[in-house]
Amino acid sequence: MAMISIGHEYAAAVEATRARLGVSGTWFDADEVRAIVARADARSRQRSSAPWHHELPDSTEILGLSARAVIDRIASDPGSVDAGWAAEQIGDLGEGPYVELVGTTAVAVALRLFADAVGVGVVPVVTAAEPGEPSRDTPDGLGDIGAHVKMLEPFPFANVARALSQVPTANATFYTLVRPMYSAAGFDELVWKTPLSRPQVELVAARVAAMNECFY
Amino acid sequence: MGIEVDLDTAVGSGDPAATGMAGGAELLAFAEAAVKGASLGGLRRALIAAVGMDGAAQAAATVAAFSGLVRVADGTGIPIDDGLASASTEIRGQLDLDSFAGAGNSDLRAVVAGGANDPISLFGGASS
Repeated sequence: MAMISIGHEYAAAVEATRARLGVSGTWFDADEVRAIVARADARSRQRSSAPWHHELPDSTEILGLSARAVIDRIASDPGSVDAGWAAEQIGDLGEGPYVELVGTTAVAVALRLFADAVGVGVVPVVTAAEPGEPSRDTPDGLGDIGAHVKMLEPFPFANVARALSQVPTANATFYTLVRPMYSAAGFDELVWKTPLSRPQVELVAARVAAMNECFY
Repeated sequence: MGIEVDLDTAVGSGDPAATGMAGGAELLAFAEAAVKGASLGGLRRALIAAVGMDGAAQAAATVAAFSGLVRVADGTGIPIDDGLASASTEIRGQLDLDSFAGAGNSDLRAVVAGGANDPISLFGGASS
């Protein structure tokens, strides 16, 4: 099987991200974070098979029904999320836990797709969890911008950069992985001196976004 | 300056061979199969031949990054940024992007032509 060799920067991003997923988050403890990652990874691994063939790890039973519903939807069909569904889950979970679930699931799916894409079979399930209590901290300065959840407001940059800002630990974990994988060359530089040109990267990005029916 | 790109091809409704850029067809085929979870062996070889090993790694990283970004965007329901909404009206129409469910997160009626059209400044925070 042909494999793609990855450079130090990508390998370091993956390892740093996995390390962050091994500790307690803001709303979920380390065992729960591990369960979130395991379930999202399982959903993602089985993305090409029929739903009735899916097998999900028993370890995710420690998560509540709404938490599992959020992981499943975000991992499998994020384009179908609407305000009504999100409000229903947030009503059960609270905004902070919902945001952390979204961010952690997104990271787990990204790790899985990277592993599958390069063909190395890296398993993004976190195997070691450190003890610790979730801080349950909510930052000051949150506002309603018309999204499903509150986020930092005002904010001078793109909405996607503040989407997880209600849970800074989740936001930091997400960008620990995503920034080196997408915009290491600098988003504000139109010409990237990277192996792929900026247009080539954006071509791939556009196809991925369109396949997920992501309007944003 | 620059190159001409077929936007229909970028989102999957055009001819993959007509992207207008080197390795475009291989990049699109690889990205599509990676997202679907399809077999990638032959596509990886073709991609490496087209853009090199490091380019293929960057393509894989881009697939991963955007698979995460779309989930964060749709999961949190962020509206489209004001400047981008104004700048993308014609493109959204051409590609029928307003039919995506996530379009409901944005009040597109509020978009006023001539608004701030500087996406680079908007995204500055994401690259810092």
